Amino acid sequence: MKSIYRILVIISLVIMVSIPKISGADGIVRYLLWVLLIITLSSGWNIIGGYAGQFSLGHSVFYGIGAYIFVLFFHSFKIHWALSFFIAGVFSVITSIIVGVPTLRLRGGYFAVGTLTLSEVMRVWANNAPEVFKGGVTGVAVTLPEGWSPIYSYYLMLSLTVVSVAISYFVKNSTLGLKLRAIKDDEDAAEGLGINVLRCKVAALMLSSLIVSLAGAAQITFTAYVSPDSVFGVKRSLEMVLACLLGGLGTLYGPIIGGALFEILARILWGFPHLHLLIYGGIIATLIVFEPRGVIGIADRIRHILKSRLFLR
Amino acid sequence: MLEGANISKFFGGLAALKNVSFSLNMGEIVGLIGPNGAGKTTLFNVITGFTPPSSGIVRFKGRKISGLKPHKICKLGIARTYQIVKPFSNLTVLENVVVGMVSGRRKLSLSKARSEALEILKLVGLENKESIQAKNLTLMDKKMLEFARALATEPEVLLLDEVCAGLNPAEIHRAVQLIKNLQKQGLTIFWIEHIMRAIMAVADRIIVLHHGEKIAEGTPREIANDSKVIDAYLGEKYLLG
Repeated sequence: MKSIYRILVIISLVIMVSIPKISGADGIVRYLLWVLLIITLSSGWNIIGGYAGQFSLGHSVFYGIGAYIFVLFFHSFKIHWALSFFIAGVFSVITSIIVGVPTLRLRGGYFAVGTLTLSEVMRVWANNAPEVFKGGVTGVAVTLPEGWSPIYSYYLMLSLTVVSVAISYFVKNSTLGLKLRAIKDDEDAAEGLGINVLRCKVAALMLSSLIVSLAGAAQITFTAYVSPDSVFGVKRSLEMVLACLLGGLGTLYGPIIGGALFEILARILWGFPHLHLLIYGGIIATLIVFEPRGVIGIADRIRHILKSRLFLR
Repeated sequence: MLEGANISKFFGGLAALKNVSFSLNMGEIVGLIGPNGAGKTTLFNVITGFTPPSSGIVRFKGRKISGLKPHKICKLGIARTYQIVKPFSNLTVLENVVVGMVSGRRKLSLSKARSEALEILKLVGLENKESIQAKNLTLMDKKMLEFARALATEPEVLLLDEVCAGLNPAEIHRAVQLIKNLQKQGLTIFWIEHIMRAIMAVADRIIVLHHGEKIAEGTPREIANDSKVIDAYLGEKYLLG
């Protein structure tokens, strides 16, 4: 089974790498950029939301900080894009510690509401403080380097996706991953067994925010635009959660499957411009109640049913 | 080894513990009994750091531990089980024990922890259930898993909160045997229990709590004949077999 997964991963990587060579800079590449973005975001969110069970609804904070810091250094200070990228990541990890130490003491719904509030505070602040957040309400159009092509963005996004899935893989199979799963099931019992619960949760949030903020910076290279509502809005936070739930909360491949499904869903929902948030919310609620492990959970159920049928015969 | 001096705990105006003092000697089994609401579990929560005492002090090997966080106290060598079992339900039996090994006092690597966890599972009789999710275990097995998980942290003192409640006579026998074996291996045990047959048979000493106060302390025989304990808890003269 393991080796089948490995072959599938290699094949899909080869396909992903060669797509721009075949299709050129337009069409499918532009579409896949968004797919890669949502996969990266939801596998980043999955580390704190899925593995550790800390349901953050405010990850747009890290996404927005990544985006704004990148714009500040790259666009305003004219620093090389790779370095700006790096600075954005560092800055977001520091923010995650400042944010995480108080909010991660909250449990369950309180943590979700706390992080949601935080992202709204950031959005309102960004809208009203053009001296800090360049452009204020209207946002900023970013000038990309001479000759920058969406293909560069594509490879940037693809490597970021690979890195974030790799980080997820290593976390899942590490002692940190095991401790996080224990914390998800019972915080008190985990603490009583010698786990420093707060430290583990903060570590998970740091990794999670690093991935999400780098994605926030990388998307600037193909949207060439940043505004408070586009990066700090609740919509972004919800999208990560939804993609993760669609694929499978707390699983390695869930965010990949979920991200791909989400982009398809998003295209369909373009037809209902004022209803889409309502529909997202409905889907999130339904999945949490009936199958938090999404597509992977449903596939598991079907496999179990088939197995027991075959066994009975 | 483990001692508490004048421990009080107030929840609002309610005194859950009033000036309770106790001390455990190395290698001893000490029973803690009393009616429901007497403050037994609160005392355990105070010792393990889950609820800090309102006043009083807990010392472990001469060092003050009251005020430390639960994970620190665990790392010093005090582990516990819970009255209402708290297994990590979505983890397998083996993973439950491995968690204790990688985060307790020793911080083993994952692969080393796995092989040692199997040894502990054998000790509590769960060796064939290692890959079952903990939520699918029977109550008896869940209680044994709590044991195994606590042992995985390599404690010197083990606090047991009603391990026999809800078990049938054969299972109680198994649990009591296990506790005796642990004592032989040098563990100090502090044990809350309502099943008198079980605790009277193995405890070296028994402490009785009532309305948050210690009303008696002594050997099982002394406790069974203590008029205050009979009034408050045992109900009629408890006959030792």
